[in-house]
Amino acid sequence: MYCYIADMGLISALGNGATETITALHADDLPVGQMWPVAGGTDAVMVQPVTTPLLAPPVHLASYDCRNNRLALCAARQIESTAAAAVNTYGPSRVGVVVGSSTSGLDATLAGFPTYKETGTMPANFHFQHQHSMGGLSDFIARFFGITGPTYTVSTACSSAAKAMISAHRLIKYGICDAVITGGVDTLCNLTVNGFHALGQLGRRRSNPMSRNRAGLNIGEGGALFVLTKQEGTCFLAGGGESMDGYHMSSPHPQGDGAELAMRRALSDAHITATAVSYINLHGTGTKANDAAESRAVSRLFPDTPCSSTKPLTGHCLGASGAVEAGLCLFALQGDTCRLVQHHYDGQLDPDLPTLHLNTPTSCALSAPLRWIVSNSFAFGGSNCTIVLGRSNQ
Amino acid sequence: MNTPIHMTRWGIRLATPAATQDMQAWIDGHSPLPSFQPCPPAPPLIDEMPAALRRRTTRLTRYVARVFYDIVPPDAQPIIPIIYVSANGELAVLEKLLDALYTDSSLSPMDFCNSVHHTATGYLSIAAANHEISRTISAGNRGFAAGLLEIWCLLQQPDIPQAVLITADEAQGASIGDDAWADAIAPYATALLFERHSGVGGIDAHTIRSNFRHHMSVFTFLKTHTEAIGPLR
Repeated sequence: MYCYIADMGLISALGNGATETITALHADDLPVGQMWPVAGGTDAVMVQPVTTPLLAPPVHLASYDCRNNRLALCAARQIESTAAAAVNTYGPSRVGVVVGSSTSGLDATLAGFPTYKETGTMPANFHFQHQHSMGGLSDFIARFFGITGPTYTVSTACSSAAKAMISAHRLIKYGICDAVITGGVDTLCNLTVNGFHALGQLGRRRSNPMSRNRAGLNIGEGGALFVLTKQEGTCFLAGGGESMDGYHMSSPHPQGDGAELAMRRALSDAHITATAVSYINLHGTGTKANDAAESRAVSRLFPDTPCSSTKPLTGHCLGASGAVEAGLCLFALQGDTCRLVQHHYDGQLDPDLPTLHLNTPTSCALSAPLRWIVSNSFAFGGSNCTIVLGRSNQ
Repeated sequence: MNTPIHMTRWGIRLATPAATQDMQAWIDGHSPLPSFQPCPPAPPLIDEMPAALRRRTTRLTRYVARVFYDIVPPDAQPIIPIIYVSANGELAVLEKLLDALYTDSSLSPMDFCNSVHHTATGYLSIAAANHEISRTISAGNRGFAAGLLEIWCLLQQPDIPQAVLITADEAQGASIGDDAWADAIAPYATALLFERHSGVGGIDAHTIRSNFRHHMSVFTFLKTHTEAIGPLR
């Protein structure tokens, strides 16, 4: 069963909303990025922050105020009328909220922690459940839209949002909900940047996926929210596949076996073959390990399929990446743009990796409407998730 | 599609063995609800996990692993899907990281890896070479009900005969959290094994939705289930 995407709200380093994002997506100049000090200021890495001014939540939701919920609000405002129509049509208890995040309001926790250390309590404006807790994100979105159906947050690091979208799909498929607000939101914060730096996974320059010179990822932030419904439309979430590597907490299976399993399960769930897929959005973080594992898995399953990573443009939005990148895929699928996303790198392929059909400036141009897109999200703990997006034959 | 599911086994571990026994006795109907007092946690042994992996686990992961090993038969451990519910995840590890940032100390790479919300399921999957679906969710005091919803949806798929629902949370103590009740019994973990139900009864979609609306907790669920069907452990 397909679940249709009635609307989408998107915010990232590329901009706020469809127009800004599409313009930046295909511009000649890439987003500039910023340098973020790490390790007590002894080093600095490149990050991709959202530069759009973020508004505070409405007064009645003030206790939820943190950067993550402000990002969520940006995306929510873009789908507000469609979400309201769903609530009106189906009733608030028949609409759910399932979103992904790996940080939630960790920025607020970080900001308040010095006060806690010095006084023994967090600041008065800090609300643990509404800001810090993962569940605070889904709760905030539900309260913003007046939704009373099933509401929860999926948190599995970088696969969070993609898994949330699969959950949303199931809730509609099995009749629990008639519509679900789904997607993901994550925030750039000191703990995640320093944590990834401690693992040696961050780059001082723009990420360079699949290059022999790749030197790490850039942390990004942002969010995407979708109104997923059973009502037929143009584009849909066809299905998804998940797996666990069962290999290591911070490194993927080197041959990409778990990634391949997730992709195969996604194709099976969507009832399509690999040859039907028009484009693959790679997880493509630009780390040695991920790109090696993913390229091996993708080359086995999709030897001739165009692909690219959008992370050099948006940064790695961690728990939100699956949703943000699904949003970027949708622009091409919906026909909002006549180009796929180019694979931005230094042009020097890693000879140790299988050859993929990375999108070039020339090959990006679409000669015919897209039909099926696959998007990968792979996470710590070997948590793998692949979703399949489709377009109706009209 | 609305195939009911039913619970076949369950297990719990509270902060200490004594607290665990008291809760089990209440659920089984042998005694009234105890008045739990906060006490230093005694993390359980998890000798089933390979030593090299075990020594890297967090305190919360040990509680999760203990209930997993208690109720999931060894031959099912590599192939069983896991729904893991935790309101606040690896709080103890997070506080270590926050402390390190506050004092401008280096972050431990292992601590950072262990701070992700789904840390426990990562270790379980590695230990058992489990490649199946694993989902970690958070929903405050509706977490268990959301987990029940997730597992019900999972078991609607004909190729998934059984799945385990695990809930767990750390004590928050006098720290950044504010849920006083959790201090008394946490760290805690519960594991419930579910299968599709072919006969009369079972938990259907209507019950699932009702549980969510009423914020049913795992302990209330176990108590109610035991009262209706009898002890099952």
